[in-house]
Amino acid sequence: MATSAVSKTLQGASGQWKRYLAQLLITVWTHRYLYLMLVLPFIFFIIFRFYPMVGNIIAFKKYQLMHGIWGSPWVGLKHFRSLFDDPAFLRVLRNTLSIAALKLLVTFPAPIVLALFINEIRHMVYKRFVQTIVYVPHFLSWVIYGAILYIMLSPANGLINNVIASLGMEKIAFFQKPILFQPIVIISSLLKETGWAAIIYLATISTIDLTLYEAAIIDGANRWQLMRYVTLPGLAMTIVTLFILQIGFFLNVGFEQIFILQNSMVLTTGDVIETFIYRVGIRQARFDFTTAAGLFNGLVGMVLVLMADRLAKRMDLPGIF
Amino acid sequence: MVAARSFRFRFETFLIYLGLGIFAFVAVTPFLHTIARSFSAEAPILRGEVYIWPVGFSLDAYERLVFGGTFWLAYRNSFIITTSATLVQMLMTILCAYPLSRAYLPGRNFFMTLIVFQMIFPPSLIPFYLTVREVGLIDSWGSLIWPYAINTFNMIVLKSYFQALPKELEESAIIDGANDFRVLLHIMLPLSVPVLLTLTLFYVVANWNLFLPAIFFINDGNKQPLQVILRDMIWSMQLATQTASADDFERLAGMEALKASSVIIAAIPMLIAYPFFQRYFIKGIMLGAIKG
Amino acid sequence: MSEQRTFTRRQALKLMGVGTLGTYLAACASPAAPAATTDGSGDAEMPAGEKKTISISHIGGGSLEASEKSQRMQLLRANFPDIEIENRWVSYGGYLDKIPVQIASGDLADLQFCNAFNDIPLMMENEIIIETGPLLEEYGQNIVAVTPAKAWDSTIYDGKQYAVTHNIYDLNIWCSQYRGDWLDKLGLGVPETIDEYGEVLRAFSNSDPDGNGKKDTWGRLLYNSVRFDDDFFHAFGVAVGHHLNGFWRERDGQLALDWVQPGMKDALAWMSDVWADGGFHPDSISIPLGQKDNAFHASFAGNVYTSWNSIDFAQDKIRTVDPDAVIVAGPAPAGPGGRGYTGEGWPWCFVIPITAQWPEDCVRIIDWFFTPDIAAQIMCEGVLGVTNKGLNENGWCVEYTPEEKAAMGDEWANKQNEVQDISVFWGLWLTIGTLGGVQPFPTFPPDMKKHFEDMLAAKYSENALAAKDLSQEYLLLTEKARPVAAEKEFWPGLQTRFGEFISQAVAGAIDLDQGWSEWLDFFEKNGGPLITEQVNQI
Repeated sequence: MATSAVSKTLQGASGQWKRYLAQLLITVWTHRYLYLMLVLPFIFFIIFRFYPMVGNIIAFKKYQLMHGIWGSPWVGLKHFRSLFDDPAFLRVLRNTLSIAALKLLVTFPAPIVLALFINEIRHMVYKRFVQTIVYVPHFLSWVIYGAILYIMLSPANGLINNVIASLGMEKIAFFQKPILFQPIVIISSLLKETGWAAIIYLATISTIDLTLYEAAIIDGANRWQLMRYVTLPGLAMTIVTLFILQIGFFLNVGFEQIFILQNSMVLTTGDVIETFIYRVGIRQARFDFTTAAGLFNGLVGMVLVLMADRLAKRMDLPGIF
Repeated sequence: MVAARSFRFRFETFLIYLGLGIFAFVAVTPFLHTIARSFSAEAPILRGEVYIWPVGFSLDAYERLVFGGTFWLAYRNSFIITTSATLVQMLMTILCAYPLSRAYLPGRNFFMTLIVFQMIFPPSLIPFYLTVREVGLIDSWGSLIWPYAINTFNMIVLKSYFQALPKELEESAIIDGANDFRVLLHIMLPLSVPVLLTLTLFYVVANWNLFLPAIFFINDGNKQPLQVILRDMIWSMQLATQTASADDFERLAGMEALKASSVIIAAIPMLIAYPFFQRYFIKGIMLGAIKG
Repeated sequence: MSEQRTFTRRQALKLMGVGTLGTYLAACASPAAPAATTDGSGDAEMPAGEKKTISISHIGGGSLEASEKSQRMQLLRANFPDIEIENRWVSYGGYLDKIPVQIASGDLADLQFCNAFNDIPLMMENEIIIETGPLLEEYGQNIVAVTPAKAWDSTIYDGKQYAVTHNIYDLNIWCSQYRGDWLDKLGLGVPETIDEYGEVLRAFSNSDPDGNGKKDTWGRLLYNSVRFDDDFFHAFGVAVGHHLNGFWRERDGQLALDWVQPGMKDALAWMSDVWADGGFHPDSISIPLGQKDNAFHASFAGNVYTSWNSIDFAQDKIRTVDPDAVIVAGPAPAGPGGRGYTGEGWPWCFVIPITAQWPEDCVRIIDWFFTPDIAAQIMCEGVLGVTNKGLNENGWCVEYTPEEKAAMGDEWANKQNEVQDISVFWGLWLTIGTLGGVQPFPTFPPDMKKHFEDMLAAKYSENALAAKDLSQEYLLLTEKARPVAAEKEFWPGLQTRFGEFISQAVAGAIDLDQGWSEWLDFFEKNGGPLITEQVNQI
């Protein structure tokens, strides 16, 4: 009795499993073209992302060329310890968090505001003009942009300091004051990148259904109400997507910019994880250590992304998964 | 009442126009300054007399750039790399984004999780380099194209956009007997022109500005893209001020203007391209109108 | 090597073709080891009719130097018909990023150009370069004959030598230079002592030497992080070392780092006094690396510490602003701890990786450049027959004198444009000396030597040649032979901390006493003693 019951259950289960499998095959076959599309991207991700990603295990090894990635000896968490134990690490982490938070609060929303305002311009020529102009500074590399900032802010004869002096105030050595470093970073990235980042929002705005505006206008909506109840909801998906993606790189605050702008006088507020890793890891060819630091950055990013995705879904906005 | 509102509306409009104008001017000043430097003589530049208008007008810097053979070679290389890489990237990005935007596709969540995972934990440099070498791409332009065929960021943006398009369109097409390729090609893509163009622009600019991959993967001097050549020029000149020979110093005359002009010349194709893309953003609005 | 490449490529293609997780995992289980594991055996058999291939890395200076268009390359190829030269070009701007990847992946050129201080320790750790001493003995007689024995110190590990060549580099090309016309106007002489030096800097800043009634002149612009201003420090018996590389001297029979000697604190106190009196340009320390000499060239600063051979060029540049400008070099200022200028040593060299199949030929190729007859053809600046006069009846190249260049006017500019991509900057040609002009070899016959010495003298003004002598006279070199193992882990931290400390101390941003004891404490706890111990073991 007992055995037959068991075999019956087993049969039932395997029958269920078979049905499930058959159903799956049918679904897969129905969507065969969609899977076909994914073949090339899949191959790409396997070869250039997942295969080399396995090599990230050097974060737990002492990488030696002679032994290759696999043969190199294991060292456990040594690289992570030397990252966290470094006397500079706490300061570097603090600065990174502070700049990252400022960037998220200030430079992330800025292009949205810019796009909303550009959208308010009815004069076509002026609209195009502004749109093109704010896009241009993106094409100056940070090396060049940094050099120009030094020239403009120089306490010797910089434009800004000349104005300050002509107002009867004392000139300011902007780049020698630790307290001014983070504001300079934020303001310069605002000026340089806001127009570029606004492009995607402008493109999205251009796809919003015009009848929505017409209907709202008939209902008596004013400019700000249109912005609030038509344009912003139209952008919501893009904003959420970009926000979640952005937060995945929370600790990457922009190596090139910080590296160019920092100097030994402002390290107390200006040294960040990426510049630290560059000095200690990359320049010393310590790629095992660098990889460990990258994993740490990724771990923080992953946690934040998952949290942001949950939050978005709870607010009935589309997540990225 | 109506008049008052209209005054307030106009006043606000004026403020918006003015505010944007000021922001645009401040933002573009460094670029104007760079242009002014590129046409200026060395002494006024060093003395900080050049702001947004050239002082001691001179075309020398451009002349020297344009007569250099390597420069044109690098320009051509960059054009080839940018066009072919962008084509590959757009194709791959669309092929990846569309299926993943279909919520009903079994296995989609698993795949998305993998993709987000690789975005956040990218392969570290050395394993990545070894892989590119194993595939046999070292010292070929393929190394600047295939390993970068999909930018996850762009792919997810496109995927989200596809996801938000009305489902009825797809359903009616399927009922008419169209397969997924046809749905993508004839319904989804035409509806996504502005976003597709934005991503194309992102890819074009990224490919044009590409620098580090070329440093790592390309050994042949004749295959180098523009940015590498330009940076090399500026770097070796800066270095020359402290170590080089007398002969090098002669070439260093006018270095500040040369630096600036190389920036301008490298940016020109991207500046020309932008209004072209912009026109299609506006076309996007009209498409929306027709659809309504 | 090439066979192995094809094999891994085929593997990869297979991987691409199947493209399933299964093969992926299978492939993960047996990934190809880095290519460097193939042992380059020098006595490999040469199939008939095939050429040996040797790759050479060049750094910077335009891509065409390494191509058929370069006369030097043509000459090289013609002399070695059995060797296929494969040129690898590395952008100067990308060198610092590329070389660590090359070392960690084993992808080095057969003749790899590198920095002995930064790169050889990493190469040694990864065991990817071969010993060169015996090869040089057999195939590199010309190289050995012209290279000072001490130059090899930085490439010797456990008594074995690991570099093929060191560039014939001016040991010290740096000296302190002043605006002579400003000194005259202010009634001051070229400073001899550190106190006089301080007075000159203060006067340049505060006594309006250019007489325009504006406060727009300064003594000196300190380079980024004060990392190139050793003329001040040597007066107190210490030095920072260029690039914050450190400076070691023998003290009580032991090598010790200058950074922790009491003289360092005195030097910083002296500098912060000058800073407080406005003797330094306010852009000092924070200025981007590339703009070091700009304030001097723009006639804002009256003093600069830089290479002697830039004097004539700088003077021309300043004269476009101030037609009366005269630059004179001065001796290193004397102070309680002595005087001196820091020399950089011999940092650049060629090494041979274990992947090189023909190490003997690698050495032969470079040695060939060092034979007097060949060197005499290629050591002139510019391109043979275009930006120089070509060869004379003895087969020695001849350069144009500055007067001849000036007389040519536009024609000269056109010639330069024509060959600007083929500029001689760094690369293979550096080995025979381009820094600071042509350096005649000690192995040259007397008449040949005189030819090049005369040519060199004709290129520079008297002031410049006087500066050259001064820079040689006060030369001081660090006594540490080469980097040690502990530096890889600890040096970046020490460098950053020290650079930060001295910058803040000079600018008066911190209390010197407190900063000094904190720095000493940091040095003690972060590898300082270990590095010192290892340095003394070499």
